[in-house]
Amino acid sequence: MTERHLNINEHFTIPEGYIDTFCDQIMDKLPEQPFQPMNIKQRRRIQLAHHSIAAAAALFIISVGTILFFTGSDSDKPSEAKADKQESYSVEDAADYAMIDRTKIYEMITE
Amino acid sequence: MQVDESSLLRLLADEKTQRQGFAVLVRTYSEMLYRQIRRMVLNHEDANDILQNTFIKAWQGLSSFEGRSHISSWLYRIAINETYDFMRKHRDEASLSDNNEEGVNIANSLMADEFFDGDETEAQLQQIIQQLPYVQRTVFQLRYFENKKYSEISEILGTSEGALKASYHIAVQKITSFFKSRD
Repeated sequence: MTERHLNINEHFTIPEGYIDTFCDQIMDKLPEQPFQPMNIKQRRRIQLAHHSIAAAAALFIISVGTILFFTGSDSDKPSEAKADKQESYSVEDAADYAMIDRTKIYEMITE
Repeated sequence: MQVDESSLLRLLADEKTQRQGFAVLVRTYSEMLYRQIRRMVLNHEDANDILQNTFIKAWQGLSSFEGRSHISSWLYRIAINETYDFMRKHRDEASLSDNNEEGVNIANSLMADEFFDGDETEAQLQQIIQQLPYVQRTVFQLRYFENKKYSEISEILGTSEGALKASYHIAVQKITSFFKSRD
């Protein structure tokens, strides 16, 4: 694992055999209770909705791409300029949020 | 951690296999939850108590899981809320007993803890993390130690990604300024 190589871990160790013992103990401790019905159909509906949106988006992109490909190339330059602008915005935006990554934080504190 | 979530959900949703499904859930997610709780409360005994409460709450609230998020996110949410409750109670008790030196001695306590194998710098990192507000602390831990994406943390904490990025940024600033001032 990368974390192990970078030594980015919290250095908390788990007592040997703790997890196995815990699993057995917690199952014994669980109170008896009536069946808990679960409403998981909703999730399937959400997943279906996500797939439909993704399919519609893909279709839209293909359609627009096809139209642009077969129409004139006059608009190429403005589009490129716009794309450049958009890209530089995205890079700046990402730089704002990228902040300091885990490795740099680790290096900083262990210098 | 690879677990077939759909199969687990099927086991949990069936009256005959619900308890068996829950045993699979406990075995699958115990270590992951333990690690997060442990880095929030630092000592093993407290982490063990909170982990037990987490699974008992999850068992009693199975019907409240609607599948809007992953099972792991739902469990993380319960575990983190349980831990916040524990820390609030602990903080109130500490302020009542006027035991305000505790925060200062976190690094020393960790160095003496048999279940902590880091050096002094790592103990100091844990100490400064403990001094962050709860949400900044949780976001930092999930990003730095678990390498979780903001979208995943957002699903766990129910907070917007923008707010999480801001929390992480502030936490990193506080931690780095602490270590710079130390040098």
